Amino acid sequence: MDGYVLQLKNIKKSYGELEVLEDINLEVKQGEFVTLLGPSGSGKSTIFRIITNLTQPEQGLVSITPNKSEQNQRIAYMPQKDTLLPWKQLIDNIALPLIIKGEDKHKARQTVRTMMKTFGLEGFESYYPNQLSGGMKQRAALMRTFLTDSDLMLLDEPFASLDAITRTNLQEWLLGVWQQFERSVLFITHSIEEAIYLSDRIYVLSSQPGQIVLSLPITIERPRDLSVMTSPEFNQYRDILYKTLRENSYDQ
Amino acid sequence: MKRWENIYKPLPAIGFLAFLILFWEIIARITEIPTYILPMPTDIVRALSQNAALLFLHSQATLLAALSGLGIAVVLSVVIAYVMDKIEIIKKMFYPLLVISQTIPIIAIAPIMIIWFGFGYLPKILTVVLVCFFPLTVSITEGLKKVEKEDIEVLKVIGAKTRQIFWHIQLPAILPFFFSGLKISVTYSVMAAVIGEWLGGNRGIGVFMIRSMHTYNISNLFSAILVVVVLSVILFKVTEFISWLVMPWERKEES
Repeated sequence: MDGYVLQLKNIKKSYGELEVLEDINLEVKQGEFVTLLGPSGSGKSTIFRIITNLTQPEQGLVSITPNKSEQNQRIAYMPQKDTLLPWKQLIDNIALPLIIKGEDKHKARQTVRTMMKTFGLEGFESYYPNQLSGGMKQRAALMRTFLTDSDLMLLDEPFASLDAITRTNLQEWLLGVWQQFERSVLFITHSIEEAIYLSDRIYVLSSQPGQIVLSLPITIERPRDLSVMTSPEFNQYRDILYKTLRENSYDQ
Repeated sequence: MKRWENIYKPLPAIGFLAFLILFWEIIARITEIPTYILPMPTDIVRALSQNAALLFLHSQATLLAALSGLGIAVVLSVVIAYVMDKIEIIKKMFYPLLVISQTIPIIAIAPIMIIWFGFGYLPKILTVVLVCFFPLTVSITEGLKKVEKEDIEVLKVIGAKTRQIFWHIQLPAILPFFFSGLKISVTYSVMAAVIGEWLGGNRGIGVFMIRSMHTYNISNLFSAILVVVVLSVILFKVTEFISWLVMPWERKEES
């Protein structure tokens, strides 16, 4: 699999009578930022559940390039719901992937401590999640996802529950850390602007059953800053995506 | 301000209790009801101080039975609740019977325990286990049901083993439920030990009560009740403190 970290071929999935996914083909290249854009109920999260093996497809093939060093397949997965554990201090929450891997607690904490600044969480190591703001919690959850030893990161609407300002800040910040750590990302969102701003490529899903109706490469030059959002290029992409989404989503 | 409130919060209850005791003392004095029917509070205090050494000795036996029974109940309930949560069919087999078993009064079970296991510590401990086991199992089962599915999934995806999922998620998640069950069980445990002791044996507050009853020493009976209350309250407070200690994330913000 030359340069691909993830390939899905002809994935099909239904829950009982309800067809959720139909003939899904997609791929993520090494270092690429790919977004799944679609209306609610288009089965975006189900695709993630299939990739992470939390549910099985009826048909189709999932292939993930294995980590060179690891036997066990690990995937960095951040579900939509906030999954920071309320009983762990921030530093231990973030260190969880390292601890699970079998690293010694002291050493894991040390690793996390050196990275807290990059993720804008310095000074909050010993806080419990319920003492933090929504934006900080999302940053911590993202940091934990980054610390999972995996080439592929799956992020399921990580910014959906945030206010507009925090959201914009975190998008900008995510691009920064993504470039710094050179990971491949598969990102779920229903926001057109967020998709264009972040991605190298966007897959648009239709609603019920979810099918990929468009694969659109975004060639806006990197590094991007917020000013690209007002560029003519950006508007063109937005028009295409908006039209495609309108044509392929039905109100139930 | 906060501290002031904390100190004065129990004042109304204490005041009312003091009034009741005073009222009792006055009634007992002016009606001249014989002491073996209704002792005065001052008689009870006297009985308490006269029997202090003896009561202390008996308390130790009762505490030993209560705490070892409680300990066994804790281990047993964690294991059973975990297995029931893991294997649906076991829960379906076991849980309804567990609920029904609680309709059997403990006072009816205790004599059987004595016949089967004699007059030593064992029947008392088993009585305590039977009483304490239920509230613990129910609250832990409840807690395990409420564990967030997504939390477990995230750990599975990053390669966690069953043991790690238990330590990092399930165990801490059930702690608040466990402790609310434990607070109930801990107060029951002293009572259950006393019931076990009523039926036979030679040490324990329950034994002391039976002996006092046979000699119509009602002041001694009242002093034994007082000891049971104090023991229960102490155990309850200790439990509260431990739960505060092991669940720092549940503490209210101070300031």
